[in-house]
Amino acid sequence: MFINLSNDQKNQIERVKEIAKKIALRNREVDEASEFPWDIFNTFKENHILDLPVPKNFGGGGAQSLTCCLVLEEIARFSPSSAHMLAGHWLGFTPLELFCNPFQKEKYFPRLRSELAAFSLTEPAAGSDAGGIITEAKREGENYTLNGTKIYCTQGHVANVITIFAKTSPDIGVKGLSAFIVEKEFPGFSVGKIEDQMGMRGTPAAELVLQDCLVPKQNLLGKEGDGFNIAMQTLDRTRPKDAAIAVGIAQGALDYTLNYAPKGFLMKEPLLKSQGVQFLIADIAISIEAARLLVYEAASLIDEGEVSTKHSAMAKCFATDVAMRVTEQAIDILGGEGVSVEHPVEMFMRDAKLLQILEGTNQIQRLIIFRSLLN
Amino acid sequence: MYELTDTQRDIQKAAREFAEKEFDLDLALELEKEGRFLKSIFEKACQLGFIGIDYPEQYCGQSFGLFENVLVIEEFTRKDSGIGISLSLADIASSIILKHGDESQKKNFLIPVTQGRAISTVALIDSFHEKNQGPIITKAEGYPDGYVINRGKAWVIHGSLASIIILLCETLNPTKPIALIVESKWEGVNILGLKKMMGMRISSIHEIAFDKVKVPKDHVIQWGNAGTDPLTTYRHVHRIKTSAQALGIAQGAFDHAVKHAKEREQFGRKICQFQGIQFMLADLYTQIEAARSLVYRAAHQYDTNDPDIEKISSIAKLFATDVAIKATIDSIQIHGGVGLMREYPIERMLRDVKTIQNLEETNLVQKALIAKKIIS
Repeated sequence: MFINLSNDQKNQIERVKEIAKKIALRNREVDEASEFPWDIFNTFKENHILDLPVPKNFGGGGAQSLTCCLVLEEIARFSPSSAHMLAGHWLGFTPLELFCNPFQKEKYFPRLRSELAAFSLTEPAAGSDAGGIITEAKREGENYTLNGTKIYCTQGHVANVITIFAKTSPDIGVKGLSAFIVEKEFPGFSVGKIEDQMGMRGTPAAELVLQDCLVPKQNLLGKEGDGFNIAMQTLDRTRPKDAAIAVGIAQGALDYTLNYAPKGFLMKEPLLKSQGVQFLIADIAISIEAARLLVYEAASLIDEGEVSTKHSAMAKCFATDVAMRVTEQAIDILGGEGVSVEHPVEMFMRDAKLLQILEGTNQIQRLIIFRSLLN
Repeated sequence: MYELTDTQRDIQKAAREFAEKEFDLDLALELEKEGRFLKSIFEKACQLGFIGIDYPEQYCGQSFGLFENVLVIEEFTRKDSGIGISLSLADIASSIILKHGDESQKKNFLIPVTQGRAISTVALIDSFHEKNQGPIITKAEGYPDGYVINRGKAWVIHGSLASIIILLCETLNPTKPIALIVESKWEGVNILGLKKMMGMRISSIHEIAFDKVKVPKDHVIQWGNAGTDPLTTYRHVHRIKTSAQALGIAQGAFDHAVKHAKEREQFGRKICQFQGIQFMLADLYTQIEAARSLVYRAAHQYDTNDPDIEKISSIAKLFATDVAIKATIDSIQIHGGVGLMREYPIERMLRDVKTIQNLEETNLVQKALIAKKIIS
């Protein structure tokens, strides 16, 4: 497969680069305070980045997967946590994009051009194993009543519209899962603990508490029992986006290293004169390029209507592992400066670590990849 | 190769019990947040003989060697990376005084540390990058055999707390680095800013500026009969202590991973029953055991004045810190989401070990040094 970026895609990259550079000036403040940066959210909204994947007939950008990945990569190069905010929103939008009926589309698509979305699958007993979900949804007249606790929902504390997965039929594992569009104003919905996490601190994960939460029956996504399929189809389409952020992080770490390295020394010699460093940098560049191509391939397959669970999982697993290793190696090159908070690389490393775990740990990705090889 | 002696096992056990009792997780989180070293833990560690374990008895030590010190450090960082590192770094100047100091220097600058009254540290002046600005240190005029530190800045571990600072510098003669004992209360010793790092926050790093500091003769460290210079001694010991810190952190991260894998259930079974997790644990266990052998061997070779110490200390630091990075990253991975959260100790272990790995001589430097020895 050969990937040729369109002029529109190239323009998008150039456009968001300028925005990302400005946003990045806030990186440290956001990281230290671990607060959702509404100013950055507003920047995304005003510049029509937030609504990129929303279809054009609803006023959005109508962007395909590859374009979204390119945008995330470019933003993550400068500000990983801000890219994570966008990806979190798009993750929240994806199940709606795929499964909304016309009524739901009319109601939510316009809103998600300017309001934040989120996606909530995980529970204390259900991390990798979605079958372990115990949050229940009981149909009572015109409403479903949801009871349970969800955890690790990226920016769940600030999102207005959240796709929440709950069991409409207990005891039959993932087949009993259903997906609901939940608004934060719904009675019985509240935000619990907000996590103090090592990286991506501008977009912390939140606990969502559902206590007799009333959800109108019109807010069921698809049919009862469709939940697991909705979640998996969503993740097939969003994993390349996490992978794109990982590529951006790795590229950002390399950029910074190359920029800083001329000032550095190793054993009283200029750092870049060291062949050990030269080879290390070459290896970093190789792994980033390989990850990038895998991400573009997975995204292009989605855009061509040939969504590949395998490719999405491979892109996510490989690119996030690359991001972790590359950020770590970038610190090694920068030495004492690399671990100082005066430089962004240590933050990039902390951000990268989250990507190896969220939206399916890389162990789960390997499981998915192996199974898909047998089919 | 060897077995720990009964005494060494007792030391290990005592250090473990002390750490289990004193290094409370909530306390560590509070100290890390505030960037604060806890003097009372240090004092207790001194009272029990953990600090100064490698000093001779006449200086209120326990007369053991670096090997036993390493056993203590390993147990300390195994229980808590941040508190463990902070204690391990509370007397980093001592190795120089022990090896090169004269009788009165040992008395004056080792005893206060073992008694919990003083913290000693090292300031490495980067003379290489300042060579165009005139000499950093000159012989003092009208001050027989004393020196004046004209200028110089260094990032110093425990810089705001230490009362004893050994200044290491390569200025007078490149082949003969000089070591001067500076007391932080002296005029011309100024504490500047705090350097905030990704980890190691319980041991704060401050920039210290030296401005026309007069150092009397009795504070000048002579080479003595040690055969090496003070800077080299410091490098060797610091590499080995860093490797011991990393070893303890690797073991601690591994302990947590095993515990979590045996408790956490997914897909109807404990996650330790999945072979994907088992192989991760097996690899870590293997690498930690290998690291331990290297670290112990390096400490043993230091204690026996082995001429190969330059190489083995680099190898131990390189390998043990790399293993610890892998162990902490994998431990977070096995924990999943909870591993990322600051209220659990694992993510801090990664930040702490990444910091100690890069703070002084990086692993790229170690590789260059090892290669130099191999081909020389």
